Amino acid sequence: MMALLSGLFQPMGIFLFGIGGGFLIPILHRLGKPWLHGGFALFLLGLTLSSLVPLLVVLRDGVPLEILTAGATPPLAINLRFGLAEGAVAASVNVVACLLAMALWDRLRGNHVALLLFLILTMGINGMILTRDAFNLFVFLEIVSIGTYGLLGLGTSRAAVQAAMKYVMATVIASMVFLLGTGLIYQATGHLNIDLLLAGRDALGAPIAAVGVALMLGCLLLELKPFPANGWALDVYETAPPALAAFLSVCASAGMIFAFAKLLPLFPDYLGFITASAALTFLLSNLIGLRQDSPGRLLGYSSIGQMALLVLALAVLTGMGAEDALPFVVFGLFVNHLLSKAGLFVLAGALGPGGVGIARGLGRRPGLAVLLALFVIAICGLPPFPGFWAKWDLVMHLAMDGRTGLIAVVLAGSLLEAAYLFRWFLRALAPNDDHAFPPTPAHVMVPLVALAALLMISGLACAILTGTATPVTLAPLAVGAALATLGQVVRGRVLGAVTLATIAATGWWLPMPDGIPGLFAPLLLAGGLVIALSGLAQDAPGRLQYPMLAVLLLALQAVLRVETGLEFYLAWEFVALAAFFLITQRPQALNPALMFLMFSLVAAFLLLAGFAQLAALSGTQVLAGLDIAHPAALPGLVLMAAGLLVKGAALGPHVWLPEAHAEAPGEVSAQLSAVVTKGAMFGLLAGGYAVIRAGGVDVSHALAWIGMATTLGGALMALAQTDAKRLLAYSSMSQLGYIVLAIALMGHLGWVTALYVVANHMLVKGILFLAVAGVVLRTGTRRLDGWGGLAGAMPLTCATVTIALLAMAGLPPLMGFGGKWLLLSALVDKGWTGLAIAGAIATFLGLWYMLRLFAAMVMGPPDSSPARLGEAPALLLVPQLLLVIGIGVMTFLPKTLMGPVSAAIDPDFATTLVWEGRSLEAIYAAWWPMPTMLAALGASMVLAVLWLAVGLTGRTATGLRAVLVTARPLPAWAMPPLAMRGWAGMWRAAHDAADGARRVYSGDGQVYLMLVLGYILAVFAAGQIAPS
Amino acid sequence: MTVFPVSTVLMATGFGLILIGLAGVLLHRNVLRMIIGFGLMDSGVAIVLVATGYVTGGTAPIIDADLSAGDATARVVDPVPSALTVTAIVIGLAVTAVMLAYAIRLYRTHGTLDIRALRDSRG
Repeated sequence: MMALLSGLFQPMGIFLFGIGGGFLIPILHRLGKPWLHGGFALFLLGLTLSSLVPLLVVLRDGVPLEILTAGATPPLAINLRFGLAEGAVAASVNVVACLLAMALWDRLRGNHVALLLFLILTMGINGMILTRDAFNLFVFLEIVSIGTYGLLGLGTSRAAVQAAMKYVMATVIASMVFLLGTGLIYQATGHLNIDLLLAGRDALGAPIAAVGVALMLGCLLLELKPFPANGWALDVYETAPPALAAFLSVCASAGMIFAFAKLLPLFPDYLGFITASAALTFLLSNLIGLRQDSPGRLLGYSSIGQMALLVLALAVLTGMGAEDALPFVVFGLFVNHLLSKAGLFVLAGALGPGGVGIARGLGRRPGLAVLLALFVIAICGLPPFPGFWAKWDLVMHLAMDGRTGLIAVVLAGSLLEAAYLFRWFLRALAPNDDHAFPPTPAHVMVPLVALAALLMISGLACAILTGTATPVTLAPLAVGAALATLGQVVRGRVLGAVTLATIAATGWWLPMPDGIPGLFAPLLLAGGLVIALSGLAQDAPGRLQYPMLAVLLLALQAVLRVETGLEFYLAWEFVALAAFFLITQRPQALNPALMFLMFSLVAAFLLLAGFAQLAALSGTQVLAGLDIAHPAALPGLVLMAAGLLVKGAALGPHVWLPEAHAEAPGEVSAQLSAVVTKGAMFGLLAGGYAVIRAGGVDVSHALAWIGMATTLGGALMALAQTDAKRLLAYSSMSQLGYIVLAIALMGHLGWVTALYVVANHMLVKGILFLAVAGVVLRTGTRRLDGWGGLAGAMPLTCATVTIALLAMAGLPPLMGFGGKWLLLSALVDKGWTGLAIAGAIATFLGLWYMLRLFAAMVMGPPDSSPARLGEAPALLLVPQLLLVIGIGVMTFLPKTLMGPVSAAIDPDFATTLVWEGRSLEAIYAAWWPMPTMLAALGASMVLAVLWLAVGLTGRTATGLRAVLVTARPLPAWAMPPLAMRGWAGMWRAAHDAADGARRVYSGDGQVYLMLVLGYILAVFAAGQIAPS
Repeated sequence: MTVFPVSTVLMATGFGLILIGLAGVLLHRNVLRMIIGFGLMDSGVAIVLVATGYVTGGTAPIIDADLSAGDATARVVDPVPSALTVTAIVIGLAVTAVMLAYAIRLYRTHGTLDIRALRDSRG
């Protein structure tokens, strides 16, 4: 079979089907449409098979296929090569070309000229990939160009004609430059065979040859659309029919990038210039993308950015001699862009007219919504798609080469790209029943689904290649996908129950880790499941609810179990994405969801950058290798800590947390706040553990103050809220600050405290968010002053809230007391008196805002009639009761937690302390800071009374409730939203910078030509300056 | 008086034409004039290419009674650049035709050939 196929489909078939088909199509046109269409399909399929079958042969034999023409050997005749790289790229391009021809069918159908051009163009791209002759490359370049010019005629609008004219003029200059360069090189060397040129590249330094090389490079770079000489391409992306724009953006560019890669060894002196130009293009095109409204132009900027990233990767990896990394990084990025950008362009057409800013109510078309999400995730380099793995590898290599600046550029550009693409997705998701989607015919839907499927397959292939396809990392996606499939048949509580059972079973089945992860894993799994139980209270949960919940909780479990940096990063991104999609379920939460995702990505990128530094230093990507006792490790560790602190909502970058936690659906808020935030805390603990074991660098005092600032800031802001969920969200931030503070103690006692607060906060915040969800359900408002007198109507809810508040407040005898006590004593023990005092103040503030919540629920006359109110649904109450039981266990049987905690923490960790895992009472008796604790509490009480007194005398007596609930505890001027203003300022500054940069795209074709010419001169100048 | 070889004269002419064409493209606002500029550049490149293959005193690369195969490498003009040039001329023709076609379409839709009028897409 294979022999027959490989006999039938040889690489030369690409040209036979392409050119032969091109000649036959006008004749078939005369015979009638069925002949024309059938013939086109046959030729295109034949062309594709002529690349796929030889690729299989090359894969099987491991030897490239050499094709000699004219019965002579090079350099006397042209030769072509079909090796693994050529075959892989050509076959990918051809498959995508088939899919795009299908998507473009409404324009191609019956139009024999367009069909002919499409075929010839595809053939030309293959020729650029296969040829080993410089002049032949020029010919194929011109075939691609002329084919493109012709197809651009499919766009008939005013703007499309203008764009085509500019495109033709700019690319004509580029090709002319290439031709001139080729001529000069021939003059200098006497041949144009690429292999011989590469072999004899030392001889290309002579003046004429050097000019030829510079001209050739100038053309190749121009065709890859560098900033600022790329305005001509952008106009085409904007105005061409979407599927055609896709074809040009991904397929035609593929030929260019391959030609560039092929000739790159000729340009050793230019690597610096190429890298700088690509970095600038990647950063600026993604920056300008922020200001685009037309989907085509937006995707155009993204395409240009992605091409620049490919060029950058090629140049840097070649420069550092890491050619063996090229296939994975460059081909990974290439395939990722090929499939996802093709999908995005086609999808932009399927969404209908209108800018990227308009609300489309995309939720009404779940199929399109899923596809858009998938392509956006892929193009942003997020898992599980090939771009994720490629970008990881690229960053690791950049770090090995010490290219910190380039890492920053790559990550900043990726962040900007994610910002505008996810914003587009979220805007499209915003409800709008008036938006009419054009019908999505099968010829558009099939390519979209095929592209998505190919993306997933290639992502899985990357996972297998990198060895990250372990049960631990695959479980979240596998379970999520299975549940999503099941969700087509089963809905509601049944699916919910199946989800919970599957999560529990999978969590149980996964190997249980040792040490600190072994503490977090069961805690977060149990907590997550109990809170997830509340989701069953919903009659009609969103389609995403259960699959994403499974991904979220299982990915969190994966974070605790992985062994390498890559696996950690993978699981970490899964957590962020799953949480993001859970938040987007509420239409009101779309903007907070974007903010959540942006900060999550910032955190992830900081982690990546930090880890890359450490991995480059230690030479290993295993997490256990992080304990590097060397001052050079400091930047990497600081970056990683910064990433975890962003995710841990430290004061400053905390702004995402209150928005996301407040606006997410009730049980999602509970899940995020109680369970998911602990992932970052685990990271800090695990990282800190490595640091301590390594010794050396001490940043603990700074970390402690960051934690304390977060605690104080969070508490103050919680105090200022009138919205119950926002209050709880800020309270979470405050509690996370405590955990950071405890971790910063870097000692046995601090760490026990940290783990203690982790458990405490999980139980307490789970209860509070669920209780508030119940109250909001009954009263219909999140505003504290809209509640009141609920003790009678919702006694159980009020009881659980009371217990939770007491437990959190740090009042004896509940578990929070233990936490506070441990913390303060550890602070005093370490001599950090300032922090201890600040801790006492924070305790007071915490008491105050919790008192407000409590007062709002139980005090005063209810605004709404109690008759309408009832107790919260049982399914909301049961999880709360289970969590209350958890509080009880930890209060009265502290050893259940303390035993394992002590066992988990390295015994020789802190020598000054003897921890015996005794009950709390025994420890209280053994340690002296009890008076401190009491003093702090007493001081808090006095302050509270004073504050109350001031409040009561300062206004007309409307009762205690008015002071506690209705009145603003802090004047507005005392709480300027500094962080929010700072971030909004940065966001505006980015937009302003984008506006500045895009001025260069004035629309004037002649200016564009001058920029093209200027760019060529810049390339030439770079060659003159570069040391040879 | 120094006698320049023909190739030098050709080179100078070719590069001169390229520069004149470039000036035409960059200085004229009328699309048709710009296309003429592109045509001049095309011709210039073709002349430069042919000039690179010139051998002083060389003859046509046709092996016949006057030119034995053994002498060929020493006495003939390099035929490759000429072959390349023919290809390039054909391509240049096609490109010029496409540009003219777009110019016609442009005039039909816009009623002008001023390149400055083509600014619907920007930023």
